[in-house]
Amino acid sequence: MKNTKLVFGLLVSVIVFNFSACDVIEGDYMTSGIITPTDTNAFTKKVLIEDFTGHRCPNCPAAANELQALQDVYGDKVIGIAIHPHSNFSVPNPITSNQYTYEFRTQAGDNIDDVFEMTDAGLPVGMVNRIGYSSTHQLAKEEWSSVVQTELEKDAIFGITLNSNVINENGTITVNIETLCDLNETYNLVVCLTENNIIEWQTDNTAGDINDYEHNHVLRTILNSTFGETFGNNFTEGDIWEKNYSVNIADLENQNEYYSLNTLFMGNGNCKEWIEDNMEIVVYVYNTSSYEIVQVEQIHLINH
Amino acid sequence: MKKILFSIILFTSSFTLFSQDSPLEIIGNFELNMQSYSIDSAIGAVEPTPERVLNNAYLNLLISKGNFTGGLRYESYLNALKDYDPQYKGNGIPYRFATYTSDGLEVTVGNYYEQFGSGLIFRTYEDKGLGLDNAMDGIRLKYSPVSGLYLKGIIGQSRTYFDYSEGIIRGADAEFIVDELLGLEEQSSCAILGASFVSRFQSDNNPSFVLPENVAAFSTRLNLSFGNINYYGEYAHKINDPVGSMVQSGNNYANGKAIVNNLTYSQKGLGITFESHFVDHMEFRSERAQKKEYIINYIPTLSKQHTYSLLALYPCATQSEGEFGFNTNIFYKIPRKTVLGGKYGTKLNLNFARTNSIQGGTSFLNDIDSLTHNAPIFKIKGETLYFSDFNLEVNKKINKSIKLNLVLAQQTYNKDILEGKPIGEYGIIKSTIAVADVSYKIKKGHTIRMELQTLISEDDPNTTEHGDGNWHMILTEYTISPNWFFAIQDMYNYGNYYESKRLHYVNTSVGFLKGANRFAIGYGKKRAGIFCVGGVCKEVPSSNGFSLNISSSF
Amino acid sequence: MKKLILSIFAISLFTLSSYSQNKNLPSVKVKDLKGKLVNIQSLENDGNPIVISFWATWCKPCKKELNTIAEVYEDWQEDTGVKLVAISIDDSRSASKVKPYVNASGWEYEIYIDANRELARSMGVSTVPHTFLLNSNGKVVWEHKGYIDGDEDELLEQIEHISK
Repeated sequence: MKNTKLVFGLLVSVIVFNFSACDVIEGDYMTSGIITPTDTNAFTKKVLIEDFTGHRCPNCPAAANELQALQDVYGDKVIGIAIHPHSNFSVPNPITSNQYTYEFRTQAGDNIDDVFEMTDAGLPVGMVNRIGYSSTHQLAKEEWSSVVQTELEKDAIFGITLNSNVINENGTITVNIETLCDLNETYNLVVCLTENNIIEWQTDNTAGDINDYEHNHVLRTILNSTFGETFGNNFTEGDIWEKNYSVNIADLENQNEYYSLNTLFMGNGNCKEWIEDNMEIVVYVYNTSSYEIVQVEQIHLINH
Repeated sequence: MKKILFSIILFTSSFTLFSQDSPLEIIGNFELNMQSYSIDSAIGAVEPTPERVLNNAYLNLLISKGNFTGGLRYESYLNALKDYDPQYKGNGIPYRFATYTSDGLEVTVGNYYEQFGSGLIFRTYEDKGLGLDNAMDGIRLKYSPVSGLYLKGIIGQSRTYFDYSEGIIRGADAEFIVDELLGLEEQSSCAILGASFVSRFQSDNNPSFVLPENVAAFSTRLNLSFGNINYYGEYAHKINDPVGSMVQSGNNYANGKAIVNNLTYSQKGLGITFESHFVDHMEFRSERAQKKEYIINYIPTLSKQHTYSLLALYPCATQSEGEFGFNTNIFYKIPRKTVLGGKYGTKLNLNFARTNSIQGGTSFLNDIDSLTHNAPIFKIKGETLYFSDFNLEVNKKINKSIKLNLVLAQQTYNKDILEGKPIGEYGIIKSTIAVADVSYKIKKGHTIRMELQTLISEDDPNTTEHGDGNWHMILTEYTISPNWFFAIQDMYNYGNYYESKRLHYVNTSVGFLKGANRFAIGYGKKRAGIFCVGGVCKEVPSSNGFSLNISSSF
Repeated sequence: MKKLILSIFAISLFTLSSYSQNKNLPSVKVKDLKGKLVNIQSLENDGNPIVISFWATWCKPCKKELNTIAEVYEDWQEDTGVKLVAISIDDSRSASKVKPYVNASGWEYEIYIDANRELARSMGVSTVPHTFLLNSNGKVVWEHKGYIDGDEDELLEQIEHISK
């Protein structure tokens, strides 16, 4: 009998205690300042957000806004890639139509989607440095900021330096990776090209059909195969690794057109005429066992 | 560590179970669903299924002895069926628990399901058919200190697929059965009061906004039973619960609220119900982010749950961000041996349900906008219609061999709102539906049943897109008691705007039932559909192939 | 780790399976039509058989089964003393309709509501209808899933078998 009175007392106190457990926030909901993690290395740790989206996806502009807001706060520490995987939301109309005729789907994007099963989670969905693979990597847009914060607090383990001498649809990109501490795992690097400011149609759940939406960070292609190439499996602090990649825009455009016309459902091949001035080179390095991206860097394709 | 502890408990308890005073019981049930998918471009099944066959299965095991019960569930999705959530992958034991009752205190550790009141602030449950399972993992205590007072306390995390969400949920519930509490004799009237509290803890990592780390929801309820009349009312309130966006317009700091009012009257031969709910920003989740697998409360739609396919073609889904709905039913049995009633009597069910938006829209609050208002809780006029359903069901036994069930319905369905599509794309679709279901007993144990259904649809004239159009459906079922059933059905979308979509969806099935076992095999096409659960809708692709279903209890 | 737990459980299961396997009613509370909590183990029928049938207002075969039995329930009670307890698994979407539907249909059964399927889970019920027959000792001697026209005859046979 004593025991039950004790438990009853505990139960009541738990109830009473719980009633005090709620946070009502009053007025000014924005914080006064942001916490900028400080780095001890010369190279800053940067974060990659892969935003899976579609031009017919009405909730997707909100995700693009989320990515933009993170870039506004963290500047160039947050790099974005927008992937339009094949789904009901990315199917284009035939070229003869006057709406939604752009082909955003790419082989690279589809390959990534197949492995990480992003469309299964419903669009929009994203990954931040591919953290949480294989069960908790599919993040809703409001979950990105928390992971970005945690990631930026980590130290950079690699420093990536990029150079580009691409002029008039041709040229070479140089990727230089410096190791910042001793490591004995395998790392791959992936070299991507993205394009900003593609003005095309987009569905939005409040604004309806937008005909002049600014699509940014659109993944165009990956130069060295979807899952990249291994650049080492045993690193000492100070190691330098460098490689050149040749770029021929016309060839890359044709590859995308071929994929669209020959593989994709209702592919119309309308994915050429890339504007080099709007393009970026994004290079990221990831751990091959955990798939976690440990460093990323971005520069303009054309040096002005 | 938890797992080691749990297996130790299980192992040592299995030794104590050797005692002879109360018998050891092992019960359980098993279910397997398998489906093959072939490419059928006519019905739009163009995506090849690399696995060819998809399969869901589960096994529940319960072991009990005296005051102790333990159990587990093994689930496998290798891979999940196409109309299931594809994020269920792989296999494992996502559910295991141990319960012990002593001196009136019931303690459960591990996984459990629990509901407070009608679920407005907290309901964790599972529905395998809908692919929903948000079981808690933690501790639950139930205790009744005095007769008429029932207390519950919970703490834990909520299940998401084969993992648990980050938020820590704490809650308590108290229910007072007034006449038991006061020690009164069994009365014809009865009052039951209840109060509950739930709170979620999740840390704030947002650099731009101050997010509440402890978000609480409260509710109070009253159930009054007075002779033939029954009233149930519940009021729920949730404090600020912004989703954690980086964008100003994405974070809503407004409070949420929901009010339920149900009134019923019943006597022999007649039953009348009136149910209504007012909901404003009242979704409660185990984490801030808006993912359907985090939802831990339950605000059911107030529309009638139809079982005939064409009546359920356009299902209603609760808009937990803002909705007013009501549903009224009249159940009446026309007495036997009257003109209208006939020899055996006739049963009628008249039903009307409607949901619409709330005045001024969902409450919203942040540094820039403030739209907290006291919207009238009962308002229909001038509000955007979400759904309405007016139907009459007549059930009549003609003679010893023939039974008849007729349904006539008129539904309106706001496809944009209910399916989350851009406003103005489909608009409001109206349908008129008629169903005739006749069963004829050929001889003892042999019955043939036939269903004829038709749906006449009218698109919204102000929109560009078209709904599915008109449908016919015919179903024939032959059953041999107690073991066999055979069925064949055809759903024909004869009135589709697009000629290429005017298809027949034919499906056949054969089943064998014996005792607690059931086997069924089917073959045919299933139309694409929309599956709505907990206010979240999912589009299910059309499919063509074989299906196998086995279920068994032991 | 999962395999360890499962194998420990399986071992305990097999070593102890020599014990009696008759299902008993678990100690779970359900609500009556007034909303009061009742422990299902407290069901009794003076030593006569009890039929427990899980149903829901949205389940056509369940309603067919219970309506068909309702027509002959009085006779069954006279002959065998059986009591039918109908447990609805209607959740808060349709629980309010249970009492009006039951009364309008004129059912004479004892009705309870198992709002969050606690009792259903404890008895291995996944789909409705699912019917159990309990003997005078409160043990489950027969169970049946689903309902086909004519199944009530088999149920009556089983009841008569144990009421002798």
